[in-house]
Amino acid sequence: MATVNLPKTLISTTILVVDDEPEHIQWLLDYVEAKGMKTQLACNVGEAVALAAKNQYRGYIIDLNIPMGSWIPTFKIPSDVYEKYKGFFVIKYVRTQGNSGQNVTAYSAHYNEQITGEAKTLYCEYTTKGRVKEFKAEVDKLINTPLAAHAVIKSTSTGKTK
Amino acid sequence: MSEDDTKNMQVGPKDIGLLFLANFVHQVVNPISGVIGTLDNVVDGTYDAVKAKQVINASRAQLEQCISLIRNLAYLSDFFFETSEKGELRKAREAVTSVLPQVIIESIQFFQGAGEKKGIKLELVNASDQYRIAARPELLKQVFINLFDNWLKYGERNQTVVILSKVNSKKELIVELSGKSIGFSNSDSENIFNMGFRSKEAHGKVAQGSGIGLFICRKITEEILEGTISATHSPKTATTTFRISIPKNLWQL
Repeated sequence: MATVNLPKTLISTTILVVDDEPEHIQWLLDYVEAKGMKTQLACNVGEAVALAAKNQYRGYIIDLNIPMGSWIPTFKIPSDVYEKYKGFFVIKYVRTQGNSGQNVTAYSAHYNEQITGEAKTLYCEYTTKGRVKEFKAEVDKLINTPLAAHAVIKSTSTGKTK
Repeated sequence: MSEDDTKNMQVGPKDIGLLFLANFVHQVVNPISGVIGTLDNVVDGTYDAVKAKQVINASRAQLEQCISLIRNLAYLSDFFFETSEKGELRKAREAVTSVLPQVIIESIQFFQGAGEKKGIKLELVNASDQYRIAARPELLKQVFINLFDNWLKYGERNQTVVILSKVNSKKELIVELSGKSIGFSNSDSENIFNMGFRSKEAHGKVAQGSGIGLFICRKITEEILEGTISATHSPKTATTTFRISIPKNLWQL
């Protein structure tokens, strides 16, 4: 059974971007910010989970090839795809919190059926790093689709909205 | 055997090809994707003219990183698995000398931009000592490029990495590089030079790496410079030291 902390604060103007090599995604951070959103960067699963445990973000853009950091999984690992692509831990965490799959985009350098299969299981969006136009289209969709009322995690209603 | 033990195992020759393929794709696709994204931002107007110039410079550094990796592979192919025909030319190719401070300074310049971003300064202490080494400069340069590349990946921010050359009592030329890093267990101090090896600490910082850079450093040091390379890490001070030793017949002042 999954154990997650529910966020207390909704940060509706910030996207959580998770990547262990931020020097290679500066373009993405710049693109998101040019669209009027702020970005918060996490470099491993542990950092991402710690931030997600406190805050619900407007959206999540998550690299699948990231290190664990200091986090120990609080749920059973569903398949070995999590071992290979540890970003799925973050996706499963934020999805289990109640974040809508529409607000979560995964990306990776590799593209295979294992990845697309797990992305479908988690009902999140997926794109590959090299296809920038498709990637940007996903980001545009994430930013341009307003956060539906039902997509706001209830635990944040008592907390502060930033 | 724990997961970490499995990761830290030295891979066998049969695994090397597969390891290369998987890691090579990741190591090259990431920076190139970054460049594509940057260029797309320039084209679609995300950046103004001033910013565009800055990011194009940054893209150049990313492409240089790709080239550095590809060059490593080329060196492997060219020097360590070369055909007998190429071997006949090897002696002539190696009848050149490198000026140590020049090679180190050029390697430092290669990382200047990336280093500034992380607040890492690479400083050659005794640049005026013109040690000449009997080896091709690009080979020697590759050793320092790989070592500096590691520091940028695994080094602490806001520090100065010091490079010092000196001669010991055996008349060996010693080049030492010291600075702060995430480090490694000293039981891995030999393993980090093995093909495909990545320490537990490296895995914790960056998910994927080629595990080829330090292997190349050792190959060049041992087979071209006829010397040795070693590494130590002090957890107390978080200081990592790489030490290259070149025998007296291979250098002159």
